[in-house]
Amino acid sequence: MMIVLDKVIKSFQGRTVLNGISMRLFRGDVVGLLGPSGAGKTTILDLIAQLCKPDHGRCQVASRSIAYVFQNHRLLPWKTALENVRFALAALPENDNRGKTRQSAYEALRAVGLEDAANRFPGQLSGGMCQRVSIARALAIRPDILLLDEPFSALDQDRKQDLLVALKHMLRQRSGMTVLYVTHIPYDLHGIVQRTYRLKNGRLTNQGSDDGANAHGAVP
Amino acid sequence: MGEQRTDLSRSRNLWALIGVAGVLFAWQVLSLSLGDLLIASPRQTLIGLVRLLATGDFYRDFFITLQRFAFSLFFAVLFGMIFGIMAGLEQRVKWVLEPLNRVLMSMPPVVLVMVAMLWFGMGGVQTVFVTTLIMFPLIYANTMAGIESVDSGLVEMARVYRASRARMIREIYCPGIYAPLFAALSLSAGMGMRVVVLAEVLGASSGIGYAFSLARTNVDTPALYAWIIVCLIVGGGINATLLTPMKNRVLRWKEE
Repeated sequence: MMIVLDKVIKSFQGRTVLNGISMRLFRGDVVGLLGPSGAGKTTILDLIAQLCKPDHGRCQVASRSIAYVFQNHRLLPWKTALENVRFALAALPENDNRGKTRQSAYEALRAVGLEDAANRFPGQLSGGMCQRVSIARALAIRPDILLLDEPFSALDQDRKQDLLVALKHMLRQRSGMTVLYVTHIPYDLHGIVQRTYRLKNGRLTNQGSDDGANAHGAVP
Repeated sequence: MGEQRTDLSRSRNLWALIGVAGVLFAWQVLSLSLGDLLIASPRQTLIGLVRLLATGDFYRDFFITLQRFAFSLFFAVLFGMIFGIMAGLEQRVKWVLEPLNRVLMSMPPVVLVMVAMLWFGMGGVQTVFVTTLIMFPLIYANTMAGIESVDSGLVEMARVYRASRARMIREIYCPGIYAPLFAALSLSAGMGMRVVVLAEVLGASSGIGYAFSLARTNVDTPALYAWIIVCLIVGGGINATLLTPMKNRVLRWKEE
């Protein structure tokens, strides 16, 4: 089992965001997590990424590497697109060779169609391009677990559609990777996830398989 | 866009030239009205400068002061950055250093020179000591502010990708402090030069400050004014030839 959340409770400033949630994700699971803004979806991702700890309960992650595509791209503004991808690659023990990380980073950028923008700084790229670099950074390390936190929420519909298609394609190529995709728009999950959870009022419900397939609206 | 920038630059240069011409005019008028014993005219100053440049002592004093300034800047940046990073990352360090920082910020340089003369005697050591202490708070405070303003989202991102503490300092915190640090360095360069000269006037037997003191004793007003020009050129020169190119290189991601 890759991820186990067991009766997790998490509060911020006296407000209980997660109220005893449990979730199990296996190797190769591609799971959607739906819920309105402020429901605590990002908190679940932060717990898995070990950016915070549960107040009560257990959060167990059996993984060598985790990649996280944040809602805003979080690229280092002083590094080029290529250097940003290399930043993630450099921490891997097998990547002690500078030439190798450069090549891997370049290939990751090519996979998201940004090989021509490799030497540009984030400030010179559009929001959509930055988010693609962020996806390239995540996929470059070939993670066991990929966390996606509304990665396309800041983009217009056309760009978002293109990136969703590209993401589906990339995920198909990476079977074996456990993916947790957080969004408040069910349609974003269409054709990507195997099953979906819904988070509301701090509680998690299993919504069944490919929930987004027939849903087009945002979660109220 | 490019044309607009060129026009703006041309206009800025023109106004700067008008400013310089205004200062020269006011200087000449004051020299004529107060007498050249009190204020050497621009022409006399230029002659004084040429006379200075012809002597070997000028180069000796000039390079000694430059050396003292370089050492002071080096130590101020070294300690300012080390303690600034530590204080920015750990509040307890900030609280411990706060009283010392406040004392140094409010301490008049002349008082420090007197104390340093007691401790180290006349000469270069006290000059470097005083100048370092005067420049330190500015570098320290700006480094700390830079660290504190680093986007916590970037730090979280680095944690997810398992960046070590050393890599985080090198690749996230340090680039984050460059902008405020260079602003501090620019200010420190001007301030440091003034303090080096002051410390030399009061407690050294070499350097530009000592030459100032000699010129004053000999009532050599043109030489005195010539040294002022030298100080201005050095202060501006350090910014133009060292700090600005470094800043442009390190912060090129902001320009592009």
